[in-house]
Amino acid sequence: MKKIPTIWVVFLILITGCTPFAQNPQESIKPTATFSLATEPSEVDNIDIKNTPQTTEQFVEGMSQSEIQPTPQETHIPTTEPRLPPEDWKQWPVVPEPTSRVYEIYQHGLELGNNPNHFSKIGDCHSVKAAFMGLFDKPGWYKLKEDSAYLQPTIDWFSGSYDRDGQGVKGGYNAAAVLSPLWADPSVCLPGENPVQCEVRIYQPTFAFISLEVWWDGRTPERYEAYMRDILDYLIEHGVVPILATKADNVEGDHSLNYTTAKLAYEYDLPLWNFWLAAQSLPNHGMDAERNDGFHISYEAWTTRSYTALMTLENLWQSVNE
Amino acid sequence: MNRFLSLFILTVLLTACTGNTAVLNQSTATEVPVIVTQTTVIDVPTFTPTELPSEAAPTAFPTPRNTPTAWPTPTSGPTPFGGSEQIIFGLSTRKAENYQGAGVYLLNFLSEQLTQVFETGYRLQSVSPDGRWLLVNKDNQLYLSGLLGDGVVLLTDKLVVNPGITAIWTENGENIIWVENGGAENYLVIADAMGEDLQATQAGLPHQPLMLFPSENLEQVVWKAGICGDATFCGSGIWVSSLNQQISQHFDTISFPNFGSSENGYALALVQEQDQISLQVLSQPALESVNTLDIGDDYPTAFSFSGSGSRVAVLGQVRSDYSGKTFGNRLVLFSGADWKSQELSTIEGLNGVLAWSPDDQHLALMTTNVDEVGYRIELVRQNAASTANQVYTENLAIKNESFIFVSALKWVP
Repeated sequence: MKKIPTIWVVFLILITGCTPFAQNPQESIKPTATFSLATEPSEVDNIDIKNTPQTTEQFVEGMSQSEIQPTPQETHIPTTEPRLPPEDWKQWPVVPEPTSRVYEIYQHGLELGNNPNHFSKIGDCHSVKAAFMGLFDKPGWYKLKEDSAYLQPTIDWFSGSYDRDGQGVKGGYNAAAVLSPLWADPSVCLPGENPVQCEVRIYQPTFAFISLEVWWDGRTPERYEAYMRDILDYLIEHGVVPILATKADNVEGDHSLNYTTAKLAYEYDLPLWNFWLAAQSLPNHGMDAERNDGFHISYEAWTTRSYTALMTLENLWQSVNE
Repeated sequence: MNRFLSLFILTVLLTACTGNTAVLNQSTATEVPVIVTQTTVIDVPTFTPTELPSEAAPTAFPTPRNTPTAWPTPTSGPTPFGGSEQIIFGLSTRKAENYQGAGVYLLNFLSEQLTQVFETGYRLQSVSPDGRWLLVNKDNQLYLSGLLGDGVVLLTDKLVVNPGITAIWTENGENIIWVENGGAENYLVIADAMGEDLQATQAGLPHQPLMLFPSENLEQVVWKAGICGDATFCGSGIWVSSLNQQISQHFDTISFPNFGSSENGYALALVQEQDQISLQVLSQPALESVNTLDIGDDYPTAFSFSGSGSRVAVLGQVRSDYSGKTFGNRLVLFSGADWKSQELSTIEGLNGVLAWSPDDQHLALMTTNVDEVGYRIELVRQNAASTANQVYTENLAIKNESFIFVSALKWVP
């Protein structure tokens, strides 16, 4: 069992604006030029980040029991320890247990020629390198304590992928956008390619974090699910292990997006990095109290987000090499 | 230029004796591209379809070709615009990972006739500078034909195929060059303008070529190395080779070069410096920056000197820095000693291409537009002296469920 350690992690504070409708990223993402010592995430320490909780009778807030229909796993070998059903996603561990499906997809990717040293990010402004994991490519910007030194080989192995946005990350991206050629960079992407296809072609990753969806009225969880299925199908077909993620906010009001993400993870037997759970023990549940927009997460949450993502990556990477 | 011409002639004479290039076995025509008159993949255009003259089976390669049949009837005297009333363009589709030629089309602006010269499966690679001949491919088979698809001859069945262009005419019209798969490696094949006298550059190139860019002559062949999927191909950097002298230079910051003839012999290219990409006018042959054309934050998807070389047309994709989303394209003209810019129009769509009319007075612009249903081709004829233009999209009615785009466009001289 690994817990989020009680270490001092030295981070460069990157106060990242993430207003989804801002027009200029340079205005909204302004890293500060100073180093800062992050507060020890002691409240997170108590979270059992790998063991599956035993409680099974809680339901998603705002949803009736009739709405919760866990999708049965149909095609893949079930995990050794079946995870809780999707409606209990809030109790899923922060760092997921690897599944047999992870190994299958990973091996398929190696056969296709994917680069075992590469992982990609597919996400919106929460996932830009300035805010998400970029520091792990910058020695001196972080410091691992003794009980987290086991993460260093993972940092080294995937060197170059942390401080990189690639084609799958851009402010304003959502599940529909990353599937549209309208959003692909014409200087890099081929005719008709969407950002996901472009990223997979040029970077050939073996893992990909997927953290999407800016919420707005009119976008339903069903449409989000449909787009996500397209993304997952494409990644799996190309041997890229999708790492799904929950989000800290509940701007939609009923946690339906996180629930949908959990349903997909359950059905596809894919790892789900439950960042929502990690954020719950942070002040204001990880949300930025100053902005108070229900969307942006706080500085402390950035730190926790990068760190728990690294732990997730480490756990999955170790599993495929066992 | 005289110096280059002299050098070129001298080099040709010397090369004939050196044996540095290998003479290839001449290919034999084995398959006839089917010439059809009906659109198959795309919706039937609403322009009047016209039957092409039937073709006899191609003769064995190499074969002298007759002048293409005079159809449609050439317009005598001055034309209302452009100096010529015809454009030719090639379509390609993308479905999943696969690109496929979606035919070659001839459009007559005056009669509004859209004629399919080659059917689905064929892709336009290049049009000869005089507008009379085509290079088209189907899979790995490269064909030379007349403008109307006549006199088809197979040049090779080992053409390297990728989303880029792999077969060109040199700008001086004297040679055809293509990238051929030789099994373990790729090499360039040089032929004369009739597709004869083949020679291969099996040695002398520092890397395996993958795609070609417009090139003035054999003294200055512009190509790119690598395989699609790695940074070598997808990133920047080109090679410029003198094939006769087997001298190659690598320019690692330059991509998508356009060596169109300008009054001062300039070239155009995208130049990447750190994270910034700019469109620059470059001297030749050193490819040193002469000027940077200011197109703001737009990404230049197509750019070209006018025939006289006095103006540069740039089609820039309007993008949101924050989201990266495309919001159409701006057509901007640069002219004069100070490269003064003038915005002419905006056009919706992706993967824009442009072509100057023979008289430099008009531009043809084609893009792909996307909607809920699928993709369609947009065509605009733009007056180069004003903001006036004519949109042909409604009548053109080329659309497809999969991504369809114009892979090559030329205003026929």
